[in-house]
Amino acid sequence: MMRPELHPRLGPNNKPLLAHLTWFTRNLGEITPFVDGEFHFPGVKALAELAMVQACLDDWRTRIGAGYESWDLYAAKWRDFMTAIIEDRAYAEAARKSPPHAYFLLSPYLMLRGSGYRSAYHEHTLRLLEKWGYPRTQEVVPYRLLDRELFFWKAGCRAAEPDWRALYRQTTLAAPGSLAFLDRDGAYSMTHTILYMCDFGARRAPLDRAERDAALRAVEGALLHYWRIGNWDLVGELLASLDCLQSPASLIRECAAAAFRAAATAGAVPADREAAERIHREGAAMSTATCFSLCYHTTLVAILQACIERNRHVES
Amino acid sequence: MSNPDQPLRETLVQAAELAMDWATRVVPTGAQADALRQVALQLCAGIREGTRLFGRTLSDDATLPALPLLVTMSRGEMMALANRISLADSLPPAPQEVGDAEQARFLGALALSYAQAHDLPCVSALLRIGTRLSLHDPWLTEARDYLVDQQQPDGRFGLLCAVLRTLDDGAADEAMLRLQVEVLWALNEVASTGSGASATPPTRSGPSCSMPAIKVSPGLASQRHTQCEIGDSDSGIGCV
Repeated sequence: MMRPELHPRLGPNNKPLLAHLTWFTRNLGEITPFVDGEFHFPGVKALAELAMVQACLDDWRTRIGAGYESWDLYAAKWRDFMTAIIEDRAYAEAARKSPPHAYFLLSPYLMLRGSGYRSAYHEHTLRLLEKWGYPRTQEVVPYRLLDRELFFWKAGCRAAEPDWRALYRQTTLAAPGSLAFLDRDGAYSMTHTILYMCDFGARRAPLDRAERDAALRAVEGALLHYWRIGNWDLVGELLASLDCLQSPASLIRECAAAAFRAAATAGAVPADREAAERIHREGAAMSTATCFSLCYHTTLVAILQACIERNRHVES
Repeated sequence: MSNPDQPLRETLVQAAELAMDWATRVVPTGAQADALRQVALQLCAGIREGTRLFGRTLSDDATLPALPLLVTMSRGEMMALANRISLADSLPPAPQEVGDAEQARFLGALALSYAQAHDLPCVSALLRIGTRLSLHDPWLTEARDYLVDQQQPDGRFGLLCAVLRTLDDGAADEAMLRLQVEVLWALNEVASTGSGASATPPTRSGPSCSMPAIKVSPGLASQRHTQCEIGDSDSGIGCV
């Protein structure tokens, strides 16, 4: 199998990747944590996801450098957009108002904190939350715990690196069961577990050979399923997971990757086949907000996936 | 139920006997249902004997297309392909870019993908293709076990109660029998091949000798397996 050509700028799929970044940057304003003065949780979620992708791209720009020069064109815009929201006092107070939601609300700050950004108000909030027992007292499913540990560790809030292997053992990925019954939640659990424990490709999976083989198999099987039913969001996450696990070339992987690339239109990747059909059907009549909600997450996934794939080949 | 400690042959025979009990009790409501019931009974007998019911009677070559096409082709096309491959008297080498192991993995994963949608006819069809091509992979084994595990205590396959309530008695019988034939056909192919087959077929103890032999032809109404969803009618060229 031919190795992808390494473009001197941004990754092996330079043009599509730049199209994703351009589309996202143009639509940043669609991320709205407040609507009519009230918290809009889909907006907070999008902000947290944006912050995570920004942290990865910043890290790769620093650590790998070559090929990430184009990121500089976008990084400042993304950062300015995020800091404007995070520094909004109404947003900042929300974590103290509702400690059960505090981790969720603070996750964009935690990601920025990892790259050196500090806010005295948010730092104080973190200390208060620690005193109040949050987010420790909040019960979450195992892969969400892995997510939380990664965010706090990357933010520099943990003295020691979390035990990724122990965290992995509690997740679906450690005992995925039959592919016939793996549902959407189970598939997302697997992808998140892999992406987090591998720090988006920066670290080898802390798995022995048998565990890695079993994980590869489970991910590849799920990939074929989500490719068949046209769930591009999961296809993207599963492809990125395979790269994190250093998967060998396979027909399923290559075909699903081609289908995933083909799903993009003008830089945006719809979440699934139904979303793509709806966008096509409604055309210009569809509002920008609706189109953004149907495409933003999968487009972020596409950015991550293209970079993780590219880094893998560079670093190997 | 598939039991990992039980030899495959025993598992299949047990499933066939249970299915035979059910088919024996069914009172068909029409000629189509009666023909399907007869096929189901013969497939059960074939599983018990370890012999293939449907011969390789199609003289046309059947070739497995490039594997990615199996994912993008319609469900109906895939079912028709499985029938051609199962019945073809010769299988020219497929123009695959990958080896047997990867083909087997691909088919197994696809079968389990259809299992996620509870689409037993498609799981059965893909298992038949894998068996006909002598492909082996843990996912194909999982697909086979999945089918066996779908058998209900009364011998029927599938979890159809909710759907069947929406159909009249005649349509419900036919839907159950069609599904029964699809699953039993796959298990019959497995039972007559490799580890599923017995070295010496056992003496037949159930109904079989008095049954009319069936000449298999895809054009014969009783042998035509619908590609439609339960509740839809197969017009021959589409589902309505």
